Amino acid sequence: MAESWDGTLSSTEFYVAASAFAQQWRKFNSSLPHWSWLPSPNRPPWIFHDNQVQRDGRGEHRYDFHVVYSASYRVPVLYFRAYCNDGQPLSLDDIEKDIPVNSAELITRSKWTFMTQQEHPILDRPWYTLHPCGTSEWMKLLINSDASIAQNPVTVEKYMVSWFSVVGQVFGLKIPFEMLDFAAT
Amino acid sequence: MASETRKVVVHLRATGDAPILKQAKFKFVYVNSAFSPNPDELVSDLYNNFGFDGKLVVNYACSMAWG
Repeated sequence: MAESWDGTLSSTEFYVAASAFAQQWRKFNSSLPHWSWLPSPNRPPWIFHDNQVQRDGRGEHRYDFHVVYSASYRVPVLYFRAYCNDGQPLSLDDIEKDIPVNSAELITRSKWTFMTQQEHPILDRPWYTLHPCGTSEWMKLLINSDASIAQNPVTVEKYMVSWFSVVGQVFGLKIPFEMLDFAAT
Repeated sequence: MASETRKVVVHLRATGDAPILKQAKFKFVYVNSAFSPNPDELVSDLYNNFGFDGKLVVNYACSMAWG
């Protein structure tokens, strides 16, 4: 990717990046649920992550994560829904109590540009989403600053790992260091 | 093994339009390996994986990830 790269991906590049991410995740995070493609005929490809479970004194909360390519922003977008074991959906207030303090503060501070409820582009149902308006800017910062890229310019495969290092933080989800060691993978 | 104290030089590098070290807190930090570390990550772990020659390069920017 050239220096003038704007931080976005084409839908084909998204497919390559997300496939590489899913494969690495399976290799280094084998105990966690895996990412896999869900069929979406005539739509941009999207991936699905099996649900994550958070447990505390109030019982079990399940989180379903989907990553969908946005043709208008040309970046991956995270959609999620959260519910109790009995299927009862969680409100934003409940979600705020599950996520790390930093993210909970962001909900209050950046009410309309962080976590909002929107129609899932494929399921046509309301899901929560993380607003993608800043994504290409911070992706540009992350990728262009990597000194190793000059020697090893295979950044499409790295895109989703870098992207998830920021997006996963919202939920306290970490990427294993092995996945971030791009020279070795 | 006895507990051992090791020093790591954290090299903070401004990117984007961030000023050079006028502030002590940053909105967006990332390690010089194209990722943003979790806030509770240990510097020693980051150094062991991404440091080199006693130094860990951390970039910072003033832009917000989410609006």
